[in-house]
Amino acid sequence: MKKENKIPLLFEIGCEDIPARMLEKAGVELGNLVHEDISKAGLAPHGNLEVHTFSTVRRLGVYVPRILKGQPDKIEEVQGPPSRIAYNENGKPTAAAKGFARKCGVSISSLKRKVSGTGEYLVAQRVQVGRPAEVILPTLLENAIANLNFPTTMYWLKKSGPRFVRPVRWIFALLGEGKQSRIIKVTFGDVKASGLTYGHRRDRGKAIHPRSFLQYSKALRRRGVLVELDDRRGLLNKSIEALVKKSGYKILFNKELFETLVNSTEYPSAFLGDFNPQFLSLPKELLITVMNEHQKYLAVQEEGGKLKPNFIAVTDWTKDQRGIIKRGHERVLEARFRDAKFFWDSDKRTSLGSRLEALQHLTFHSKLGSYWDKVARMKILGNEIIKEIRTKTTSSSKFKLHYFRSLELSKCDLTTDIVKEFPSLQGVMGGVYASLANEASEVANAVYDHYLPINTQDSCPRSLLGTLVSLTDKLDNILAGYALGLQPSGSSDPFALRRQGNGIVKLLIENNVVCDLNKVTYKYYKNIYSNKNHSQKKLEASVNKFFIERVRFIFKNYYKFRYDTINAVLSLSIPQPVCAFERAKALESARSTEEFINLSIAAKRITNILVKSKNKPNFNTGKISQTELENGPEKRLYLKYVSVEKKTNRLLNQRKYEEALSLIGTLRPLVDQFFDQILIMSPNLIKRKNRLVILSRLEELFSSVAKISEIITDSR
Amino acid sequence: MPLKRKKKQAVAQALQRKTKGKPRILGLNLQDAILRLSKFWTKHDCVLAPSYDVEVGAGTMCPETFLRALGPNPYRVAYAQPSRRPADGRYGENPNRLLKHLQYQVVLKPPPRDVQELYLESLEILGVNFKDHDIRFEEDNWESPTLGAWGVGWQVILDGLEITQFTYFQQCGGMDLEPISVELTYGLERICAFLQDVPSVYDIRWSDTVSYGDLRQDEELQFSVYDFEMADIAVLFKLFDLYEGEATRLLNDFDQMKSKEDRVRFPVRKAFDLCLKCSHLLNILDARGAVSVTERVSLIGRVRRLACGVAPKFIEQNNWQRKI
Repeated sequence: MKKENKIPLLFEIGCEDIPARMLEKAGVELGNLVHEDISKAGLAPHGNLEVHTFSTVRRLGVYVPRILKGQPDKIEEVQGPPSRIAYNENGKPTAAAKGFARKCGVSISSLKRKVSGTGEYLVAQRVQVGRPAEVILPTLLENAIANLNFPTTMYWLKKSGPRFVRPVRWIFALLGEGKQSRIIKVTFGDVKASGLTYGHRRDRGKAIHPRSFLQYSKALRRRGVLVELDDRRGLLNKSIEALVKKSGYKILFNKELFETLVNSTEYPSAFLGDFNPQFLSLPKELLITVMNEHQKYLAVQEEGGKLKPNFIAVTDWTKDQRGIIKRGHERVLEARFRDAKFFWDSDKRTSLGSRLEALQHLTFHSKLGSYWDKVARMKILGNEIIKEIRTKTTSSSKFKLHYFRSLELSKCDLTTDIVKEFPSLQGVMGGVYASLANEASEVANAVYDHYLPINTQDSCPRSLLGTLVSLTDKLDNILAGYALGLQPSGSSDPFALRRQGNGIVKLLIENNVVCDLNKVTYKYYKNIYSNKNHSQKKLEASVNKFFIERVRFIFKNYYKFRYDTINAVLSLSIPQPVCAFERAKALESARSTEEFINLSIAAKRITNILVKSKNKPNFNTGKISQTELENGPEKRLYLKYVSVEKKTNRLLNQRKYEEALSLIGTLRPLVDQFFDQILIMSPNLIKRKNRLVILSRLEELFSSVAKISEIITDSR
Repeated sequence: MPLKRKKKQAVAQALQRKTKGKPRILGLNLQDAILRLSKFWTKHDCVLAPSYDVEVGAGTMCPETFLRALGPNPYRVAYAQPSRRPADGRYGENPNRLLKHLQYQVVLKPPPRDVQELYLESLEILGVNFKDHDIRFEEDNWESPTLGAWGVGWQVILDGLEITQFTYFQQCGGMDLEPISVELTYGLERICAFLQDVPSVYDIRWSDTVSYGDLRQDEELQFSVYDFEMADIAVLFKLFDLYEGEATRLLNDFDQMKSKEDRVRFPVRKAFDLCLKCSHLLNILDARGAVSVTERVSLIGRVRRLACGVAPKFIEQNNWQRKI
């Protein structure tokens, strides 16, 4: 194909300010839609289509460096009448042939003959002329705009549409470059595409008419717009680093905030602002929340982590030479801090512990009562949890005292003005107020941490006490939620129970706490809902299933275990996430070793035989009769089994799963001999039964760490 | 009072402050801000309406916004509206919080294509030079559960300060709107504190000689005392029931009216006023700490039921008679 058959396409949707959280994804999606549609339309040059996307708060764009000028022509074959009818005996075309040629718009001489299954037919070749890109692109691009997904959309002209995230105000659509370029006639709502685009808002609507992508991005750069997300990231990074270097401070980086900043600007740069050091007497967490969440400022700290009375704010395409913007931001932050201080001072007048009563008036859920009721439930649940997790630490009376005190205080901060004003500080402020009220530091820390982990990437509570408080809180949410029928189903999870379940699984694993969730669940429903005529068994079963699914989720998405490893472990329904985790880890590291392959081959042999004998159910059950054992391979296998089994149980109790696996693997040679030298399906039914029982016991042993037969091994 | 004298001195000092050698009053007086916005928006075809005379929580709740947004007729209106949020009362002590603040409300139905640009021009009219300031439109979708209304839009941030709520309405009183309206709600106190460079709303100059504090501080104090300490909960609940009952009676009666004549003259607007009364009572009860979260949800639902009852009836009347 000749080079000039390919031309570039540049397309930009000019939109009123697009929400930062949606921007990057929308850009990528627009690229995908355009890529897909161009390929489908046959306009991609030799299957090699490059689509480049870019976006700013006021625009979404696509640049395709090479697109075919038009669809290639297609040659189409049309089948006509059979040759015997189309030609007379002299070989002259008949009326049938003439008619066919006329219909296809070709000359009779161009008709060809083709043999197919049922004889020879006339065939006409018709050229289907490809349509030019200019004709295809308007609809294609209009569809791409219309098919773009946003979490919320609006209409601004008519109820029937168009819909978009915000009103679309201009469309720039250019095919080709320079003098050869043409405007593609895209229409969306009341907007018709033009060859005009616009710079930064501060440029006040002066039109630019670039005729190539290079001109486009250069002109926009001059008008305060960096269309490339990475360019803005780089610029902002450089700008922040320059400030840090100059001041010698460290910034408290917040990736999410940084991304918001580059997605809500067109030409970002940072400056360092000051605030009155007197506000440093407020809790650090409070100051950071005000700066990050409310003002979108990055906080600044010293090497040791102490906050500096400074912040980093971002401006859009302005030098702020007179410092007016800086002064404005400083005043706003000052007002915010003063507000926070007002709350902080008034909160301090009431100690955390004396807020407990007020929880009676704070509804937790309309059907689950107040937070007071929740705390009461948590204490009942706490009793069971502390019984279940019996370690040296948790058995001490001091620990128990701290645990119940933490449960009691955990929700008290919900009545403080600061938490009402800054809900994301729940827990954290509780911890701060607990220290202020001279509660034990263990208690304060546990309250502080007890919402952790908020998501799977988040860190877990620092102490065992915090872990248990977090577990109790989340477990109560889940169990009470299930009792009310608020369980998640499909995409709906009104109480965000999945997130809480993930949190429990993660914190038990990360902090190495063995807790039988089934047992605790059983006790919870028995204590709290026993007289309420709930079908308790059913409830428990669905909670158990819920936790298995949460463990599966965390294994797969966080620990990245292989799916068959996960299946092998979860098919044992182990109710302690940390034990399931250690088994999975042992399996992951063992599964490629020689020993493991031995083990798995032996396991498969056993399973195969047992499956075959399954239709005679009684054969697998019962005790091994020692008297029926024959000397030789059978007896040897039995003796080895007995000793391995005993040791394995000990290892399992000590949660030494990897060792258990390799110990079980040592049975393989004896299993092989047993299979090779002993007739299992002996005509002597007593012996046959005994041998099948031996195999059943072996199968149980082999599955004691994980269901080995679930593992798909590569080598045989 | 010495405190008052001190404040007057501060105002006088602000008046005398000099910039670049030339005597200049810093920033607009609040009343001048209202005048300038009014002049600007009336030039852009807005009707200049008076503030509404029933307590509202926001300019949106005034009939000039809520009712006019319904129905098919184009309309443009601007007005300053005192808005009461009892829970935000701080006895006149907090420099940034008020239980009654002043909104400047502009509604453009349907929204013109250049509405963002028009809005920026209106800020320039107030003395904001965009060469010197940074302006951001941050996503902020608005929803009023009591009005069954929602829209999408932004909060407009000027140098880190939220100064305006900018909303494209989508629904009002539970009804889809066609055409939609755009609503601009300027926070006058914030804008003036910004323009005048004063740290407290009470230091804002209302006129050359009267400060915001002179005019309003005792009102903030007294209403805070009432809302937080003295409001008789039982009486307020009773009033709520009475207003709700009267509104419900009206809404039911409307349905009984069969002839067009009877329906056209029917006081649907009064039913809406009564709905506003309920909404304000709910806000006082809330500030007083008299309603639990669940109760609050149910009270909001009761107000919304009234608002959603009014909306279709207003549209029906609208279809028969009104130009706007």
